[in-house]
Amino acid sequence: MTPDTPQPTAAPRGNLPLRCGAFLVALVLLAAIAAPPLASLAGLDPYAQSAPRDVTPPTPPDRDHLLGTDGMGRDQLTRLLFGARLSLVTAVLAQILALAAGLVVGAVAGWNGGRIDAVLMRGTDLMLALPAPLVALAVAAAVPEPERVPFLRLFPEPSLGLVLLVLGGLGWAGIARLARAEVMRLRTEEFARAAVAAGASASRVVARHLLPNAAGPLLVAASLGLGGNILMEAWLSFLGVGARPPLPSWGTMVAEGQVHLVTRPWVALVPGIAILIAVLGFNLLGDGLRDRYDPAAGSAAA
Amino acid sequence: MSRRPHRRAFLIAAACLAAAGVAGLAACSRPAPPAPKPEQVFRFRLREDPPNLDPAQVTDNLSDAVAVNVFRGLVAMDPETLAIVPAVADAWTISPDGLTYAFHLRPGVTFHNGRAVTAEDVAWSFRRVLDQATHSPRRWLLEPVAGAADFIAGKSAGVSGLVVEAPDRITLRLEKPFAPLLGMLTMVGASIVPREVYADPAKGYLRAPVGCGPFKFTRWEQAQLLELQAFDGYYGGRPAIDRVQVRIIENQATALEAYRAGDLDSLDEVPNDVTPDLAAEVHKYPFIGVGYIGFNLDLPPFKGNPALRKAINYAVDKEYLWGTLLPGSNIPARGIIPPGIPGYDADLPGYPHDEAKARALLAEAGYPAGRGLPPITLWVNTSEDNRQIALQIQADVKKVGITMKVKEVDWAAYLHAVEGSPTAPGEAQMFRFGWALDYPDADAVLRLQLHSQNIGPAGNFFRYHNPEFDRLIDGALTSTDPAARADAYRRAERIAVMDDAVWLFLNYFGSMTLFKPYVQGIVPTPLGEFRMPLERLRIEKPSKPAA
Repeated sequence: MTPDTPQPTAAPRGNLPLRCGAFLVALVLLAAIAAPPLASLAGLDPYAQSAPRDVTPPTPPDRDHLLGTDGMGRDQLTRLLFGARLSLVTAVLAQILALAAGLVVGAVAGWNGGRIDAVLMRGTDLMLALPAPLVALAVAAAVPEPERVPFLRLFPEPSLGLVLLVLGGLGWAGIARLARAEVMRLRTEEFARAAVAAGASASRVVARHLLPNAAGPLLVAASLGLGGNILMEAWLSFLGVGARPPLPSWGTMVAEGQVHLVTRPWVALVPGIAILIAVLGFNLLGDGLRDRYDPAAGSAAA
Repeated sequence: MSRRPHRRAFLIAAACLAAAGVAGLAACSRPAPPAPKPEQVFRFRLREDPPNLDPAQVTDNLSDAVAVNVFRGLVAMDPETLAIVPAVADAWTISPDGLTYAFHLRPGVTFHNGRAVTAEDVAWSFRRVLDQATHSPRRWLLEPVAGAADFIAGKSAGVSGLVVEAPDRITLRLEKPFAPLLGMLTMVGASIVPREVYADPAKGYLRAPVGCGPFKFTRWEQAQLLELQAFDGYYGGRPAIDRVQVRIIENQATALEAYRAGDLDSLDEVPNDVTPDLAAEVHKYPFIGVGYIGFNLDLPPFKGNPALRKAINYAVDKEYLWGTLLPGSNIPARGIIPPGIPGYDADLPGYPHDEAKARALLAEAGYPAGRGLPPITLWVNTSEDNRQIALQIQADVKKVGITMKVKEVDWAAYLHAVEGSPTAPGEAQMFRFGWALDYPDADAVLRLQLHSQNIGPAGNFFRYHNPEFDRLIDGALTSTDPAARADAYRRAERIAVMDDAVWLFLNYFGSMTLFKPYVQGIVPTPLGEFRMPLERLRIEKPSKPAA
């Protein structure tokens, strides 16, 4: 649109990932928001079999179904858009959970230091040492009927509630380590000492003075974590322990489409590309944000 | 990817075993083979490990698919004509009153461990199935034998109707005539097993079955493969196939790729959109079996509510399911008895798709538009077709207001949830099931699946109990008039289908199997793709690529 003029505030190199990432994330976000109005406008429903009754689905793309239909004759595009919703909501809620837990643990450890820090950080190390995908798979598979677990029944979709809790429960450790490092670095700064001298409580100093100053790195971590969450949700659903059919999870859609991979490849490829776009978007956004907040770190670390 | 190293290690081990086996046999009885021919290996796929290979415990088709090649009984069924043919017994006579069956054993039949099969082995194997301690779900196969009830109850140490006349002669005496007895004796449950192996309290036979069938069991790598070797001492002549490999591949797409890559010689579950290059390798043939969704009649909401069961029957569009969604060899079903079986009722109305009737019946059932009806869970065992069937049913019943959840579980856990026990219902409210008729008689489905005496793992998972139905089935069992029997089965079927709607009636089965062009001797058996007689197959390809 506009010529690529370097902006004065950011390193020229850091700009491209940020822009691309923001664009892709915006695309996914737009899809998620636009899903219900678009579907109702087109008269389509992610669960309804809208393919003609005399043709064996999946049917190829046509005027009524821009991306064709899946193996059950349901509109692929509608399911894709609703899938964006489902994917984003799960990933964001899991990340909020991880952030909340990670910030509390990290701040308490970083502010207090000493024995409390040691205990909390060894716990964090333990979490980080766990092979997260395998633990997620094991936990998700250990609860074959999430809708029977009283606590999970509070979620509109218990199977996704379970995924959300698993991802949040595994994601907090990285945030905690980062938050601790930031709190330790910032608490010796003059503004923090001044706040303490002025009689502010520890929690107030951490919450009002230290963490806001650590927002940059935390935002980077959260953004990268979102990409990871989307991938993990899709992966668990692909394996049949995440979202349960007929929910239009991208992972489920890939799993359902793989039978047709040779004859009707788009059925699995379309949701696969959607996963790619979303994960790539959040990763680029995270990289871009890092370059912006800490240009010295460079993108080589990515 | 991780299968490769396993496979190589396994091939080496198998080669050693085979060499040892050949050497051993050559040493004791047989002359060495004249010239080494390339080994013929037949590789087919099962979705999952067979749950149980003890013939007294086999009730499912995965176990059956392996067991039929390892075991033999007194008689067998011709896989093509379904006629009863000699097996371990080479001749038999039935007394005019239908009460005495005298069998003569074929000379020279040996178990895979080399020991000769005697009439004593037959008696011991049959007693084992009847024995309380065996807990065999196939006990009913031998219950018609006189004295079986006393033996089961512990009132006598032996079965009076099982008489060993000589080492090669055994007589079965019945209390009353029992029309399907010979057919039932062809089943895996009535296999003859060597006492020295099957009396083992450590149950070593569970992992290493021993029978007298065409193939001996040699290896079981859990979730990877099972392996059988041609049995040189098989009474019907050594099979042309030297080695059978049963590969465990759960995922249908993976299995299809394995077939395409030449790692399988046949594939049972053919996707409905098979590519043109494979079309010539598809073998379709009818199969005496019926597919359905079973209702658990002892659990809410189906208990005492036939209107609800009928509503679901009308709500599901069977024509779309088998005509469009999963086109293949299945025929939409109107009832229970499949075509080709005496008693099949061409005029049975069944439940053609009719949403208006479904809604009316749902209201009659006490749930107008589904209000007040808690979500129902439909159980299926994991497979791509089952998922599509389940999703289709879920979508169809939703249109009339019924909320249905789909639950996919592996086969062993699935059977457990479905079967229940004779006294307590299984956990599954509603479940997809298929029933292959073990012998070509309506008795093989109506009595085994729906008679109240078979409630529980024996076959009546639905816990159906209707005295009038039972009476008709019992009558047909002892009748010797084929027309009267067929008529009784037709009437019984109408009760179960039109009055009681015991199932959601889905399909009469057909088989659709892929075979590589070099596999010869394929028998289009109505017993189903898992009962392909492997001893008749030959591999005819110019040269075998290195494994």
